[in-house]
Amino acid sequence: MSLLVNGVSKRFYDKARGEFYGCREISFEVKPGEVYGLLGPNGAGKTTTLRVVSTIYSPTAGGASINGVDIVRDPQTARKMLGFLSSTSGLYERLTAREILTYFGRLCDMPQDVLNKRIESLIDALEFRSYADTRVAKLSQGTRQKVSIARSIIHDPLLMILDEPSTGLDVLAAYAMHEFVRQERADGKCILLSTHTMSEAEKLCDRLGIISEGRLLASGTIEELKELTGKSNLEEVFVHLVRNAAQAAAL
Amino acid sequence: MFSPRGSDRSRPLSKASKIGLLDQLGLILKKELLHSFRDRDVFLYTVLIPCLVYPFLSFVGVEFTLLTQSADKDKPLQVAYIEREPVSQADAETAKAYDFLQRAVKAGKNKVELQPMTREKAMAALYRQDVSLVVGPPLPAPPPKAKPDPSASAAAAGEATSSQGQHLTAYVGHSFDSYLKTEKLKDALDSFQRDELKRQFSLKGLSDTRGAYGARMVNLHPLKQESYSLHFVMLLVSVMMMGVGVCYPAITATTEEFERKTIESTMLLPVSRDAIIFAKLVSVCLFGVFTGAVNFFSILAVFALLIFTASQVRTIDINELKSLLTPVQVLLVCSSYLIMGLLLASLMMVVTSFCRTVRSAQNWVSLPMLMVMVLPAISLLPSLTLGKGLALVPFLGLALTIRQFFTAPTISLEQYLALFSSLVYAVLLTGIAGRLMFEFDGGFVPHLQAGLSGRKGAKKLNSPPQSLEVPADQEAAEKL
Repeated sequence: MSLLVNGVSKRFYDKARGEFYGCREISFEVKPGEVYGLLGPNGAGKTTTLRVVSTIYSPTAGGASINGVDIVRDPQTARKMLGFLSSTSGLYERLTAREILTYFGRLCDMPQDVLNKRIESLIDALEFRSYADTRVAKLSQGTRQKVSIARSIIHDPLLMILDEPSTGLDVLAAYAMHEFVRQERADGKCILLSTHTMSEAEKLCDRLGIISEGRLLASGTIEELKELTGKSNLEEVFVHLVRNAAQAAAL
Repeated sequence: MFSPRGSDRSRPLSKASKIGLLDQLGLILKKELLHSFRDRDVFLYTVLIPCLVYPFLSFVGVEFTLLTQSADKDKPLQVAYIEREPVSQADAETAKAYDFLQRAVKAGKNKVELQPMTREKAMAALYRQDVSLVVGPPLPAPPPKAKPDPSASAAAAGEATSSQGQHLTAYVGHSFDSYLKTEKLKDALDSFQRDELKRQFSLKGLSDTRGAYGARMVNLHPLKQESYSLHFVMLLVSVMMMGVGVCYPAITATTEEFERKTIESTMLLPVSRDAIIFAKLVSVCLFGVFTGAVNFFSILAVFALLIFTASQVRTIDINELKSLLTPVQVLLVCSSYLIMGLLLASLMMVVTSFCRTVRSAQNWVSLPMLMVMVLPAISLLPSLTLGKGLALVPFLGLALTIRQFFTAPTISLEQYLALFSSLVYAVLLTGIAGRLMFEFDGGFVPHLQAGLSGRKGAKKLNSPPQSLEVPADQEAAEKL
């Protein structure tokens, strides 16, 4: 199981800006049991890249494959193999957590008996049993996040795509989220996440891609990036790469 | 805390049971119905208001009628009766009925004033509204024409049939007021000791008093060839209310996905997006049809309550109540009604899919609401007939089709055309709604919005990726 992203570009249109690229010729690979992080400032194109890979957007150019399944040609099969978790994703407010999990699980082809066991197991593991039959509108932000996680992993996907997963969480919830990522990695999953927090990238990612203005500026392990740029820490590496790219673009 | 591992977490989760397209549609439909019905606005507009508004309106209507009636209750009802024409032996029963009528009016404590006139003068007085009713023997049936006009012959046939077994006919104008005055005359007649009439009729060998007089609408306007059944008007009201019924479910199914940011989750479902939008359409349509039906039966229930609880009304025999539509007509009307629901739901979804906030959607839905209020109502114009051109007009063609189903259980070419074109419109509109919902990422929607705002051409700020200059760092990154 691996994710291969090959020259993905996504063009948008905006009234104020006209046509512009959210991401341009992005290429990288994520191997099983590996956490690959896209690190970049706000508006760099991280979320766009993740949305293209997760089949929410269709790419303007390039493509990607999940375990050999082309996301453009066979998006429905690709969707069954991935779980997408975003801090901005909402939940159906008038359904209960259990109803949401059942809905997504059934549509991901899970047999009802297996699904029931899986739901119970996730409810226990994520510790929201007392809220399992409460409508989402009445849940706290932390519990909603737990339900979101449960929804994204209900079908036990082989590829996890996490878009700034700890944004908006308190310290304990963020720590728990990091634990969750580590567990998934230990379980042999491919994990692709985006972040703009250096500490989170250092803690979680096996390899990093620095992204700015929609372009992938550099890719490798933290040590490799330090060696490439001659800087001693990730923050300096990041600033060096982003500033150089901005200067090149200005020229 | 976030550990997802349960004790029995097992890999075989990927051993999927392949669910079919129908199962997928069923699951999405169930979720949409559940999610929409739990919305307070949806419940309010689909169930609560229809159940409350008609009883309230009828209460207000009854109070208003009583108020206006009490104002002129002392004024006698002006009735012209056609002076007795040369009576043949066959019309002897008519003469007897005349006598009974005059005696009944006299016994009615001057509530009715009878004025003898010739037939022509009486009709002219009715047209001028000098008199409220004209009572007289039924007109003789017209001689058959070589090529009769369908609507005219239908009216003539109705007249001939209804005049059978009746010895007097009350001619009234074509208005709601005329209905009230006809009822007033009936009340005046009933007040003349109905039992006494019955007894005298039985003494003369007649079985029942009900044949002694009859009140019937006679249309004096030459262009008004048809009079519409109350069912059709009620159905039109229910179609209009269907617009209210689809409004909030459409917003819930489309706009709310953007406002609540659940669109990503929906787009990640391993289901064809055509299937998703179709399931949403069906759920919105079901809400619309449900609302329409609730409205229809609410009106019906209020009418029934008003009729059967009114102590003054003694002339309605429940055993005589029957549907004037054949089962085939009912089936055709219901099918057309469903297609109307699909068309309306698809139109509403196009509008709400275009909006990104519930507030803006609430403003924009007034446009399709206006269409569904006005276009079907045009079908009430009696001189308007369903032609090939009108059959293609959304909503109006379908309303005219339903109107024709009320008069005949057959389907004409124009009706087929109206039904088929409505289905085609619904499919096209659903396709547009799907594109507006799922291709919001820089393609269809932004260009459409730019087009609507009058922007000409698109600025091209960035060069295409082919001409991208790879920075030195990225080249180095690739070497890594």
